[in-house]
Amino acid sequence: MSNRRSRQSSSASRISDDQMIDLVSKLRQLLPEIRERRRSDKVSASKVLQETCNYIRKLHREVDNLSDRLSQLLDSVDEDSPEAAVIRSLLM
Amino acid sequence: MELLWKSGQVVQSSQTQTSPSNPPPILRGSGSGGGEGNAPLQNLLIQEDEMASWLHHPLSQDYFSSELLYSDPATQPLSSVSLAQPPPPPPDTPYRQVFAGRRAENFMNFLSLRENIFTGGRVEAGPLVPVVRETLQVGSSATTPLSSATESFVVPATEIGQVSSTFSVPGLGRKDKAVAIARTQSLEVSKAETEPIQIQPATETESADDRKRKEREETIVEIQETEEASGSTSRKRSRTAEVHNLSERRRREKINEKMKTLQELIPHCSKTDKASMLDDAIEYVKWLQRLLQMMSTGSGMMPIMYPPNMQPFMPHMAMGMMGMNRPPFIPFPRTPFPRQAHMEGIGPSYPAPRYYFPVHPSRVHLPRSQPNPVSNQPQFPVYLNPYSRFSSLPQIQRPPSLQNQTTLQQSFRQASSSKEHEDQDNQPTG
Repeated sequence: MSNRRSRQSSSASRISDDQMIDLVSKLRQLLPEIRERRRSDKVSASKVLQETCNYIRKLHREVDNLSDRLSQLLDSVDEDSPEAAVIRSLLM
Repeated sequence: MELLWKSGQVVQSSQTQTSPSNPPPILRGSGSGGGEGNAPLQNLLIQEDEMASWLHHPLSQDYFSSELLYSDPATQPLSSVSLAQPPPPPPDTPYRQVFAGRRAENFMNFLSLRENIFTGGRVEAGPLVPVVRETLQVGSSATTPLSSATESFVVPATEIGQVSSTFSVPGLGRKDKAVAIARTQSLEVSKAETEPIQIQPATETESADDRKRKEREETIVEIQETEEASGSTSRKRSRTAEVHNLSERRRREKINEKMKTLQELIPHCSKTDKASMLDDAIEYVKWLQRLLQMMSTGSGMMPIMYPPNMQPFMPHMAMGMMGMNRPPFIPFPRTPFPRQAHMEGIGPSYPAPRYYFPVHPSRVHLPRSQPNPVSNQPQFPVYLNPYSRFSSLPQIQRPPSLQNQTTLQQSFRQASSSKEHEDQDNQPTG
């Protein structure tokens, strides 16, 4: 991300280059795949954003899976049992 | 006097013409004073005629007529007034804006045409259109945004160049034309950019208009030059700069695309600012990680409330909160299972249910609410009962239920073992 390029396109992006760098680095810390990448300073913002989208979708799927399991478990457990309360608290 | 070609008809634009010889519907106002003023219009039209003949698309004719109709009210007064007099200021401003708007429209049409014709056409064309539309609206409101609007035209111009370069099959002829168009557009834009300050204060005067017309004339000449052969260094320089612009625009467009996707993924994200949206994204990812970790192990901190706007869920959650509030922390130190952590976590964490709601209703799959949409409500008061039972702890120790819990925990762990590991790594850093 050269300054020259960012200057030229600053009007289009409306975000400072430093801000972008900062946020991208933060996202990179969160994303498990990119964290282990070599040449970490060269990861493009586009790639980071793509990985973030993928990661969020993956997390969504996992949460859905867990929710499914919890609801199934809830059905298998007595309604008034403490476990049911636990499960419900997790689900809701 | 310049000969301007308009879709098969040669129209002479002469400054001496006082009355606009009502030109063919394709090109209006080419006569008299509108000649140079129409130069930009004709500039576009020339390109569009070439494009039209090439594209064989009815849409091109549509925007021809629309464009001309658009230009008519602006150019007619110009042409009707003798060139000896300066054109009245009002038409200048709307003309420029109109022109800007037409340019955006044309590019939008270009892009849509390209999308239609080039199946699987560049994705940038799609999101590009709303970008252009947005800037168009901005540009039409004032003259100041004109520069920004014209800048946005560079985007479609470069996009066109990009598209044409990627699809080389259609033929080099089109490519040249498209590149020429892009080049001229960018040239015009660059000139317009360099002179926005001069133009804006001078919108009321004829000089600015003349300057712009001269720009158009120059660009017309440049079009011919570029189409023949580019030998001048200025051509090369601008081309190199354009290449850079192209790649930069493309990169920016990709990033914008992904930002939009991200925005769709994040619930309750109403922010248009990129920085805040990225902040939200970061928080959301962290929250999801924590949530998953909590769900799978029952350990870990309760995620803080993710989306601040919780009003729709408040009444629902209030019941839950009340239910949860009652036995804040029944001590369960005796229960060795991780479920213990569940209870302890649940105590201080009645916000947790709140966090969940904004996430899941916004998504398609709601396993919890859909199977038991009705029972959710009555379940809340049920919370009170099991909690009240906890005061008598022995019930917790039921083996079969414990086994269920254990299997649950184990299954969760197996499923997300790797992710948990990462989450635990993340937790200190997140």
